Amino acid sequence: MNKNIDDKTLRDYAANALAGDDLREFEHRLQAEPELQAELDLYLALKAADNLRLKKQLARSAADAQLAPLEPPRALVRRIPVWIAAAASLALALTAVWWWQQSARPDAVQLAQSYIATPYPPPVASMGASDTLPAAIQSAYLAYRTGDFAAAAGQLSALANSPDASDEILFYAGESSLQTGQTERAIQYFDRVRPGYWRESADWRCALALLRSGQTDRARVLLEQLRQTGRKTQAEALLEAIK
Amino acid sequence: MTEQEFIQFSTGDEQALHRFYKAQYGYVTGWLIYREKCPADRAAEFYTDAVLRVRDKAMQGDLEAGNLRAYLLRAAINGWKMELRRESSLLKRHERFLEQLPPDTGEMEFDTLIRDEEATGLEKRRQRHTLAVLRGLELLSEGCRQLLTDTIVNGLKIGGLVEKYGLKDSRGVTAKKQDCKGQLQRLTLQVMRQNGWLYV
Repeated sequence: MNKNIDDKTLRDYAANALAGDDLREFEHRLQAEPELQAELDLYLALKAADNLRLKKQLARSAADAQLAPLEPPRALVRRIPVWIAAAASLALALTAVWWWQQSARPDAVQLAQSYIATPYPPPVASMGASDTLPAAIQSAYLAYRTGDFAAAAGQLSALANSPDASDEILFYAGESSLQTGQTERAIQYFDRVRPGYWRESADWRCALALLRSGQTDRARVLLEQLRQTGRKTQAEALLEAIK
Repeated sequence: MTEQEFIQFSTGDEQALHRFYKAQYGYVTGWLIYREKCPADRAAEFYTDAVLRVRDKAMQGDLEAGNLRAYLLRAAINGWKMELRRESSLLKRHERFLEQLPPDTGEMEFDTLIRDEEATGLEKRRQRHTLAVLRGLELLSEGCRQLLTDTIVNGLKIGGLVEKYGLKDSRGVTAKKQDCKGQLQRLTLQVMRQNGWLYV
């Protein structure tokens, strides 16, 4: 395949999911590059045939299981009387005012969030070293390096499920989960990092994740430990904010 | 969906696909019918399209277990809205063309299978090429068929296929894929030539 058009773009084009400049660029290249056109044609023929095969199987499956549509629950707003809705709106407005007043003061969660907002630097690879890594790891690290944390989290989670996953994999699975808002999952990965090079970094990011998820007591224990390390300043700032 | 089920689903396991399909059927088709006013007899079609699209995205590593249902519902609604705008994807037009073919095309003159462009929404060039590829695929070995399905159709990562195909490393899989693809392209060309379609 053309090296500058990735597999994803081709699939999105076939599914009508490309728009704007991406679509224009792809169509322009299709006109100019017969090799890319041939690649697209081959994909479409194979994919359509396979989809059709799967659709027939799924239709049979639905018929056998006698599947039927379910009516979604009616929206709550339609069922509650107007006076309750008005009271709820007032309460909401008062809460918003209270929250706004509270949020003027920086708290531990906000501070943790500001640290989380800067992703941990990507894995360091010496020249040529990354070539020896398995392709799945290379691909996951590449996604992380380019800031595609959703893809990185998906790929690294799959790798981290192996019982002999390295500490580095576990750490970056945690970090990419943290970056995609999956805080509980991130904590689980950080917890699995074994004592060694990655343990301190894992404790640090785990403490931030714990604060974000409201587990302040557990976070405090980790931050107390981190006061003895190079992260003393940040740990103490967070401990102060927790008070 | 558990983490383990998601791994099976995103590595192309068809049993996992069937389980997912059954699990979400009621919710998504119900939503299409009652909230989006999709005709009841078409909801399953848009739902199935969406499930296959979600599976595709999951196999590409673009989705996670946690956001699967929301993405599925969005994809199904988008499919229905595209239909309202009378749009359809290139992939869907290929599927419709194949769907309209008679059950056994083996003995039939290929030219009789080509339909009017307006009726199928697909240029004759694409119809011919699709037929030729599928005939070529029938002539290919089972191993090659499976490898091309895993790599081109499902877009699975080469690195994850080393063990499945008993090859030494990723390079071995890439070389085998290129070999199979070359064979398919030659067979496709041969079918096109036999039908006098090459320079049409």
